[in-house]
Amino acid sequence: MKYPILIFFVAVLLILAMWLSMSVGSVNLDPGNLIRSLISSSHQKDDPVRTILIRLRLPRVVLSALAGCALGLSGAAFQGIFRNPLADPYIIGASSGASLGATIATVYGFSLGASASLSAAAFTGSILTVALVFVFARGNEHNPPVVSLLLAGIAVSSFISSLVTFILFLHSEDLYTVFFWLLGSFTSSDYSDVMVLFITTLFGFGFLLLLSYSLDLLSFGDESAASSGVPVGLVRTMTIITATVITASAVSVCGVIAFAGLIAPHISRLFIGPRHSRLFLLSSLVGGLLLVASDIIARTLLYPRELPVGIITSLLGAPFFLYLLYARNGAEQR
Amino acid sequence: MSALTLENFSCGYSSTPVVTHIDMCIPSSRLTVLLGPNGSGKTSLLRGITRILKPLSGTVELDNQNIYNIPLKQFSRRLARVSQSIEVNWPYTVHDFVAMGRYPHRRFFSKLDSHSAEIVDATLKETGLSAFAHRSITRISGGEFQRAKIARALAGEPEVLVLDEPIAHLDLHYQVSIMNELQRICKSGKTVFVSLHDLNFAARYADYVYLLSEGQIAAHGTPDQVIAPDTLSAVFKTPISVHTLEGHIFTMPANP
Repeated sequence: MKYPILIFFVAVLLILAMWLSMSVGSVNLDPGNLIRSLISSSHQKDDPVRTILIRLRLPRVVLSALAGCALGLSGAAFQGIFRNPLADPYIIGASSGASLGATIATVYGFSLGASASLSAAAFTGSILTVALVFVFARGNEHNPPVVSLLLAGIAVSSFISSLVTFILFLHSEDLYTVFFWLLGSFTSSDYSDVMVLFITTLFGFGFLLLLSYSLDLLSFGDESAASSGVPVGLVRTMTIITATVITASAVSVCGVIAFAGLIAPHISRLFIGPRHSRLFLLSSLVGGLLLVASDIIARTLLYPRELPVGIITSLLGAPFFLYLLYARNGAEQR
Repeated sequence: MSALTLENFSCGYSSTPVVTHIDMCIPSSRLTVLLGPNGSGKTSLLRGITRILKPLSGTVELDNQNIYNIPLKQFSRRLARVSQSIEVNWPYTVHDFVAMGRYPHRRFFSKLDSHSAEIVDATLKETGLSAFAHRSITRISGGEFQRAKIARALAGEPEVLVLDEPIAHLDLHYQVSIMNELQRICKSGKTVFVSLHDLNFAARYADYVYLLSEGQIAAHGTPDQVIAPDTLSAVFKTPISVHTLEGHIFTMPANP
């Protein structure tokens, strides 16, 4: 399928999924009446349907789509820069750092209840952790930079995850709150979350697009790229910073949603190949579609109970990824 | 005239020099072959003159200009390198792979302009890769991939092409076709500097030969000057005999 047609097709699917997502919930609304409710009743300020849509559903649906875009985008960027199909947005510690930030904010209470400062703490934790990984990776001259970053990322992540577990062990009364935050959810979404994520994702997308051609060359190794004139260190640093900020903004408002950022780039590559300039857009849209769809399932599967969306992405995403892995191995052996 | 000039040049890895204090002149629009045993410093030398390894001493000049005084992008526009091994992580098409050779000519973010697109198509045609253009680089043979690497370097329209053992591990058909290709590139006015292991290919194709031994230049000159039994036997620490058949020089391991 031609690239523009494919993009159009996925974008239409995403909008349809968002529309469907708007109509399901504790009050099921007729999808056909959604637009009329949003627009025509502007003179009736206290129409309950309109209030539900504007105050609750719309920010949630938009946030789930944006978070998916953010994770799909940063997943593609991390896989590109690490030349590693197993890389995901959390590979060098963005998620464990966010967990630590969120845990500290929840447990030590300086932000109890206020979701804005919970996200601020998570965002800070996330960025600081990746910065720490950078510092450690820089000191190592024996491994190639990419390997150093991955190793430092694993070590720092597992250290920080243990720290989170340790804090929660001491304060088990907060276990439930933090545990659910870690699984990822869109329950506490409002428009300020949406705006922050929208801006970082949009700017991040722009930056990554500028770097996309260099990332194509970098996929053949640092040395090969350098001899084509790619400023390797600069491109690597810029990509990781951009992808980390995108990931951190997503994680800080919706928790650690598993698998979406790993799978979206793979699905996209199946259709349009590995070129990053195309991959970034398609992977964003696919990520958005995955999360909006997962959110619909999370809200309806055990209705009236709502599942954390991270459970759905893992339950559906992991088998799908295993299938891809299996199919790919089969293709290699042929 | 020389395209590349090395003066008192040393390079290597964190103060362990591999190549020490050498002087070299690589003539322009000629095919110069770099010979030498394993570990003699061929790859380090090639990495040094392509700015991958910083020199520990001395200078490399491209047309009388120190290569470190040329902005990186401009340098890679003038000199292209085909390295021995590159990582292949994603299945780019041959066309996209070759198009990446246009990188030094591209602005920060721009589509492949029509001029570049024409050059990529022409290069694919010249190197006989048009038929594979839309196949994945993971699905072509080693010989075809080697050609694609050369095509990628050519797509950047460099003045100088540096290749590290481009015919290693290939069958005779591809060895000959790649060496013919390099000869053709030279005839079009470009300078080619290539490291080889095969003495017979060096004898057959080189305009000029440098023989490297333990990081030093053991001999240099035209093929019939360098490819001599005493020199080769000493450098390769193996008795080697040199023969002439129908006007061509060829070497063989001498009887022990």
